[in-house]
Amino acid sequence: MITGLISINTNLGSSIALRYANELSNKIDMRLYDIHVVDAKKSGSSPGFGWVQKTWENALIESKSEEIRQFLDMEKVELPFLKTPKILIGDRTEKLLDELQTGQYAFFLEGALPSFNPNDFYRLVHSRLYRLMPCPVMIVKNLVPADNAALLLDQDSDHRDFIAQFVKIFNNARVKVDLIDLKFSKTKDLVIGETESRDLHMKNADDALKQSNVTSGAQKTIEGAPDKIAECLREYGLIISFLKHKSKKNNPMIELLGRVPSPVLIFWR
Amino acid sequence: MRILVALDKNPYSDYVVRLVAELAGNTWAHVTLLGVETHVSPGELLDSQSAKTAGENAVAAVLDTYREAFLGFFGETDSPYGRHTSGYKLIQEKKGVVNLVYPEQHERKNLTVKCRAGNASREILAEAEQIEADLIVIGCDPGTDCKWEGHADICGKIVKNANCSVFVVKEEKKPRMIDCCLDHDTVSQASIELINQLVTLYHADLEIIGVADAKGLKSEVDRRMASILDYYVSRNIKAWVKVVDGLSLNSIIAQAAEKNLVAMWMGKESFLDKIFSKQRLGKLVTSAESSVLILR
Repeated sequence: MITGLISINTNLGSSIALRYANELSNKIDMRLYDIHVVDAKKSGSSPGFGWVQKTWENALIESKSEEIRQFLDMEKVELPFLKTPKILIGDRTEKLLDELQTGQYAFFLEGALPSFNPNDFYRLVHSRLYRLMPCPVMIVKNLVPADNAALLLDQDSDHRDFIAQFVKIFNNARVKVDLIDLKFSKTKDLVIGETESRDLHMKNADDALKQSNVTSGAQKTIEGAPDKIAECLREYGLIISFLKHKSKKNNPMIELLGRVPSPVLIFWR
Repeated sequence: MRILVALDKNPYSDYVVRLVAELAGNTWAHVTLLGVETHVSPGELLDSQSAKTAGENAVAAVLDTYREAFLGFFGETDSPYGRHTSGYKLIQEKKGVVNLVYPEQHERKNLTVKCRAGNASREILAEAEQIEADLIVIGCDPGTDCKWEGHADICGKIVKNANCSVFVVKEEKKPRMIDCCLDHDTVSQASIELINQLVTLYHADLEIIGVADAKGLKSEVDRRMASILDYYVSRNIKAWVKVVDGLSLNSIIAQAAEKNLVAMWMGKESFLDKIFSKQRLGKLVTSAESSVLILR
């Protein structure tokens, strides 16, 4: 069983993430721990120092705990361990990084509503939290059935490490995984085809999935502009890709992952 | 639910009748088919429409064929609107308003056919107010002219001044997605159900778009989006969510309107009302290349 960390707030993004995680837990052998960080700055300043500050912080944590508990009750998630959220107070980024580094989680999960502006996604993946994240991240943008996933590969990269990380999470998963060989270009229309058996990197990826009892589905090549590919991938319940921490703004993969409305799972390079 | 269907003699009105019939088949709404005679004075309306003096092109005669087409959508036995009948009487409701009255059939739902004389937008709005319509459906020329009965500004005026939802139908194309923009939390149940019906009708996906201001998405909008999402998910409707910056809403809507049906919830507290001043809202509807739904 793998363990993940889910960041909870009382908003739509978290609601979607929770329900998606709930469904995913039926397909992947996983345990999720939930965490909420109270931003002390947004909650006003402490009325004093020492025990006064401590008392104030405790009261804040208690009231947030109740709020989160009510939120979780309303969401009716079936994961019992989510009923005892870990509430921390302080800077969200630093607290989450501490938790991720000490907790040895297999992945981090949070909800983030998609926007029309791909720069918003770029800012998210270049935030300090994501840049220093020691594990893969699942960004849940929409509530979709997690029945099928698209594993994105390209011909220019060595995917062995990526696939090895992927199968650690998806070992024995009940999710059908299609292998997609991507080629970014500026062609007006998408070119979608079947991959040929001589494509070694696809064959290796397929073998690795089979060895880990991952249900592998179709193998496709898709060539086109990132926005068109993103639309085409809408049918998947999860998009899985690797990304370099230092990917530039004009990286087509960033644009693709920013535009695709389905949840995305990013492995870092 | 009460639907007012504004019809003229142009081909797009045929499609509007079919669309409303499908919608009515799901909702069992009370439906009023309305035609407006713009070249006749109110005092002359009754005479101008009588079969003896007018030919097949009289508005009343055209409305009669639309009624037949509407009823044709339903089976003879299970129609809540009655059965096909030939012959109607013209009864003056008041000066400038004439009803086409058909033999009584004890229908479960009202299908009223009416003709008014005067300024088209004014008469359509007056009828909507009189019957307390929840929705006005009006067709118009596709493209950016948006002409109704040869006049370019009718739909814009109706959208600007109606107190209820308005569906401006420009084309027969089935949208693959319905984009619903929301920036406030007062959303009527009727409008949520209307979207539900349209999603079913078009077999389209639904996208709930929250409009954010400079500080981001307001918490009340976030909560309302959550409750709307719950409503649709519980009905097995595939609903996506998205956030748009209010400043780029205009261009996003223009883009979305190419393939999708754009719907906007315009409430009294709506920031959309400010973005789309009444003039701009009318312009948006007339200049959009596809159908637009304004929800109130």
